[in-house]
Amino acid sequence: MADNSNMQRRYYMPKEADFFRRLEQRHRRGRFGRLFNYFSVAVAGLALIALFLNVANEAFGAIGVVNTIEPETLTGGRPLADLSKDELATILAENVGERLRVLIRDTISRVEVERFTKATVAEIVGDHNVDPAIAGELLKAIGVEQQAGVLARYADKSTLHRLVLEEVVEQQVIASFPLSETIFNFAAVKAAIEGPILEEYLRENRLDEAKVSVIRFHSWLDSAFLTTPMSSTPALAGVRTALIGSIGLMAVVVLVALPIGVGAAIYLEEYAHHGFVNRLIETNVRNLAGVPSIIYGMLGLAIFVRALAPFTSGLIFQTNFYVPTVETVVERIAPAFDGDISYDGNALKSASGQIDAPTLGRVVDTFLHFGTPSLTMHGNSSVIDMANALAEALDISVDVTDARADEERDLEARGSAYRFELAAGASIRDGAFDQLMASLVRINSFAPNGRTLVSAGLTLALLILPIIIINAQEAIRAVPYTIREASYGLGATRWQTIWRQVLPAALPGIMTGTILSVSRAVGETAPLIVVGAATFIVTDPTSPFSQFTAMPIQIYQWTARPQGQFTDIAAAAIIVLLALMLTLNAAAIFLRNRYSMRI
Amino acid sequence: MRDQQDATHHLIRSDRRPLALKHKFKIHEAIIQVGLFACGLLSIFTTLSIILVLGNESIAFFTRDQWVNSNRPILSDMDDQTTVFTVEPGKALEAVEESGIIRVGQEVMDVVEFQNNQIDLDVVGTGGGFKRFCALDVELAELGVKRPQIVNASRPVNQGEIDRCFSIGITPVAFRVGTDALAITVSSNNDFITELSFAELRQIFGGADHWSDVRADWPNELIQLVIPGPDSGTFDYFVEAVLDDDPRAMLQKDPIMSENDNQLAGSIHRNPFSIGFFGYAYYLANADDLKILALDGVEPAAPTVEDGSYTLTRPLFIYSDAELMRDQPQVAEFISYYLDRVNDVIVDLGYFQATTGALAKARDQWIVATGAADLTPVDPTKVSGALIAAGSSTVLPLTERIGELFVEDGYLPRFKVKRGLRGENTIAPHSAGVAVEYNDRPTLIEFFTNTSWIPAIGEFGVIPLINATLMTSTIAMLVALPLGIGAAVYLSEYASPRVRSTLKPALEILAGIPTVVYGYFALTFMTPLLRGIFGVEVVNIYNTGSAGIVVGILIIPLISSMSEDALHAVPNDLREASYGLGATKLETVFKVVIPAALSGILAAFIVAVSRAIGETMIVAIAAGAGPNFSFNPFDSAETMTGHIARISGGDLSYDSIDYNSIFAIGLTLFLMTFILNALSRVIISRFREAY
Repeated sequence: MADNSNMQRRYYMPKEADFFRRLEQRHRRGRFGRLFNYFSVAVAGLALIALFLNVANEAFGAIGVVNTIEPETLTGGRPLADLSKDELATILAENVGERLRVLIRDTISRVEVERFTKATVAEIVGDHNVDPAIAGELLKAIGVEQQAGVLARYADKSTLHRLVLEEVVEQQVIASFPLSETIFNFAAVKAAIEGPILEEYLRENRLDEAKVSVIRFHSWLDSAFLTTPMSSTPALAGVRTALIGSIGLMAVVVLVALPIGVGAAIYLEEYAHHGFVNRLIETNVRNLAGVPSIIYGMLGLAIFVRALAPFTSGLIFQTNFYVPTVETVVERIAPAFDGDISYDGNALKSASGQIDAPTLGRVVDTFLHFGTPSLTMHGNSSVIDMANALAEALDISVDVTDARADEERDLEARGSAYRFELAAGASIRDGAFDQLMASLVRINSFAPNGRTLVSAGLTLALLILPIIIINAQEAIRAVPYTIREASYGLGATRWQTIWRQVLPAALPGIMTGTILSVSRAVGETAPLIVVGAATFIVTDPTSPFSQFTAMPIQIYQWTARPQGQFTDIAAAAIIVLLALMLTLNAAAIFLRNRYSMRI
Repeated sequence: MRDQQDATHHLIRSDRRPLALKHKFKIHEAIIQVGLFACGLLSIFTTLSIILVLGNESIAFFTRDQWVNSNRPILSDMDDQTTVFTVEPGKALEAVEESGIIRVGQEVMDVVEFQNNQIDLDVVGTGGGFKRFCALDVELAELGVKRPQIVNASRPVNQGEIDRCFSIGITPVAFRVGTDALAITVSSNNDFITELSFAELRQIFGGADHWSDVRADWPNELIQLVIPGPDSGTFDYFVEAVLDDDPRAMLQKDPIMSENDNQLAGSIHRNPFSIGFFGYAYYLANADDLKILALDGVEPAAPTVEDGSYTLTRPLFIYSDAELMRDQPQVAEFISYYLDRVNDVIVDLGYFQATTGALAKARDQWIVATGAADLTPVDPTKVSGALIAAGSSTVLPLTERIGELFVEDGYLPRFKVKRGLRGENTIAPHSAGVAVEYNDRPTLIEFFTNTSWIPAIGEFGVIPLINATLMTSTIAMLVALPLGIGAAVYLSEYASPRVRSTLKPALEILAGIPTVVYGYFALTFMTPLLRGIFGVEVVNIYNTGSAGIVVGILIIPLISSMSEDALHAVPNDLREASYGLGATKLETVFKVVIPAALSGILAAFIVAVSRAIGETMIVAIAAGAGPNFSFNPFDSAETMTGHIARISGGDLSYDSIDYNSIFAIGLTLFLMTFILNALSRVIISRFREAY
């Protein structure tokens, strides 16, 4: 009986009304399901649109500008843009004083500081055999007018114009508003800038008055943005250094990853017999493709940056690198001392044994600019070491604050802020200078520094190698076997077949895959952070062994900063990066469409 | 014909040769092949180097010496081989017991023995002290306390306690150390009273309401009593000695009560018609505001207390046991020191010296108990071992003060070390005042169980980092899985070929955008959005929720693309069969197609989890800096990848525990993702439904 009822339930047929009711229900559910699927796609699409709009919203918008000195008071009413180079240089010379020398060094010269100084100074003094070591000193010695002359001769007008704005007018953007508010609510924006924001600015800077000189629509992305280097003032910062760095990285990546990747793919497709080693390689390549990129960064840090430092720092090629010894350090700092200073065996001998405060300042300056490019950047452990060593040796108090603890989001402050203050009556203690020399030579900063373009490029090359291999394998596999057979039939060897038949046929596919993976490499940030892209650098990389920064690193740093305008230039940099990537992707798609029909 | 024959001949001859042509060894081809093979091998080397680098640095992390400064030692006689020296007590010293090595200057030493000498004082009342002193071991274990070696007693031991001690073979030996007196005081503004009789005292604190009730010439004003609270020993003593153990009448008179003796003194001072009592020591502290009363014509002072003519006094003792003093010489030494020094400090503490006779008797007791010839001066630097005292709060300040002197004189924790172990191996003398450092290496267990990651103080627990990673990944999967599968189903089952051919590249664009851009998106769009929805107070600027959602958006294309491939591979026959049975499209998808493609979808899921775990920039920008063990998605927390990026992006010295630690985290991360990726491939190859 129980069995019977079970049977009835299993083969239960609904009544007609029930059937239609349930059918209706099922269709409703079906419609809901379809809606959910539409919704899923819509969310992905909306996210994409929101992302682009968000970036555009931040990259453009209204700004309010305040000048420290109104340009009219400098020029006597003439617009700044109308002035000649000489006039601009004179304005600079009149207003920046001591800093002029720094400006000459930092902004005109894109070549090595020394060579530049030598060239200009040689020209001024008329002696072409000036010792580079004293060229810098000579530059200090010549008068301000002469320095202004140098500036006017070597800098182009737009640079001078920018310098005047930057150093004299000190144009400051006190407020920036996103595009949406600018478009829909310009009146409120204008009122806000002229009202509370200006008041806030005056209060913070303890000014009695200043006027908002301009409220205008501003595109953070403009031609100057592409051609100026990094700056700590958002309105003046650009991506030039980062862009060149990224392009350099791309070059290294392609040069390294393409031949190796294609070679591996050819081996796997054309030569490999299905043995253990080959299966291992195949599995391994697929595994590597899934390893998080930051792990590659750590690999690069340990191997390229540290273990291979003599190679990646350019030490063994003797480019861009100079290993200091105690003697060379002494030689370098000797001019900074009043009395004669000489190094004899183990002891440093000084005639006076005393240095005065300005001299000591120059010593410090020399040390900080000496030998290692990393010291011109913010934050580096060697700065602390060096500061401590200096403090110990020279009886100066050094205020080294490690800002990492309290300002974790502010990348620039993440390293160390350092400030030197002279103790009263600073003098060199007996024997202390030897200690200083020893520690300077020993410490990190004088060891070869592998945090260079080539290290990062190799790291990224390893990162995209699996992707290139997989793509190239597919491209090679897609070449019909008949082509190979025809080639063999004509008496070609295996390599001839590969080189003359298979590779040309697979090339579009390989190129597409390579471009896509390079485009991925360009966007990678995490490995570069770990490998040690410079956090703040204004000089362009000149060789594979230079310090560098890259577009994503720049975006990361600007994003991580608290000031609102960095968000705006981060957005502008994102547009540049996306444009670069889209260009690459478009090239890949073009290649695919152009050549994929051939075979 | 001949030509033909020649030709044939030639053909036949060349027919034998092709073998040679085919197998002719060509050196450049071989080199090329080896070169290509090397390219292939490079990937294996990459994997090996990843494992080696991460492993090597992780081993360095776990074996690296982490010297932590403990305190400043006072070095005494360090000889060449083994030596004992004392150090000032500090919490960190307890860690030395575990680690077993210390460093003084550059010299590493093996700790052979560590004696954390300290004096342990407990306030449990005189009775409680004796109870512990004579308790069975089991009872002590139950209470979780140690047997005191010294009992602080503010009264002589009573018969019941003696019997109890006898039963376990302990004979309490009394050492009289001082005398306490109770002061009866009125305000310094009170002008009508200077002395009382004992009977009047009893009346004032007992039945009388007005001063005139006690003596007719006193004003007719209410008597305001000011007394210590009933928890204090002083209260008990007063009630026992004056009120015959019956405090009710006193308590009914609404007395001002406080445990704070200075408050009591203040209350008495302000009201000239108040009267109170407390320990003589506290009267001395407030002598300006108060007037002390003579009792039966006797004022409390050293001679009157000593000869017992002032009645409100009580003796102070410490008790120990003869056998115990012989077994644990540090106890005997301490008591000897106590008896030697007590008269120097007791007056300052507000008590009275015991009579010369009582003190001499205590010294005799000591000589009898220890069997020593005489009470010799004690050198605390030679004394080692724990000292535990418990008992009365009245005696406590005295014992505490003597204990402080004992420590000042050199009774300190001490190390016995073996020298010449590691580091700069020359055994050189060390000057006093050099810091002792102990080694606090992170252990594997600590690494995986400790819930805080604070490298600055040597806390290396990866859990908060893993927790944050799992938080963002879980949120990401909650977003990406339904949406990704939904998009895959739409693309594979619903979309027309034309729609599909436009949508797929759009999704690919989404997948191709650099993650740093997503990080920017999370920080400048998603976080303000969340803060707008849930409130600025609830949602932190940096939070795992926002980062997780954006990571989810990032991996939608990954899931949808892999799942779509899996769905696409399901043959149409199955769908047609399902439709044929009358199923709706949704039913077909969910009951036929998805189950058939489950292995592919599962693999997509696992790869996506692995991607989410390894994602760096979004979490580095939007999830916050600083490890934080929190389950709140609106809180900031640092993930494993975020931490690696932050630490390596800053100021990183290669020779630091920070440098090693990121590799230990990296290895953990690598293993997690590696296992997930391997799992996904196993699922694809094992469980794939082949059609």
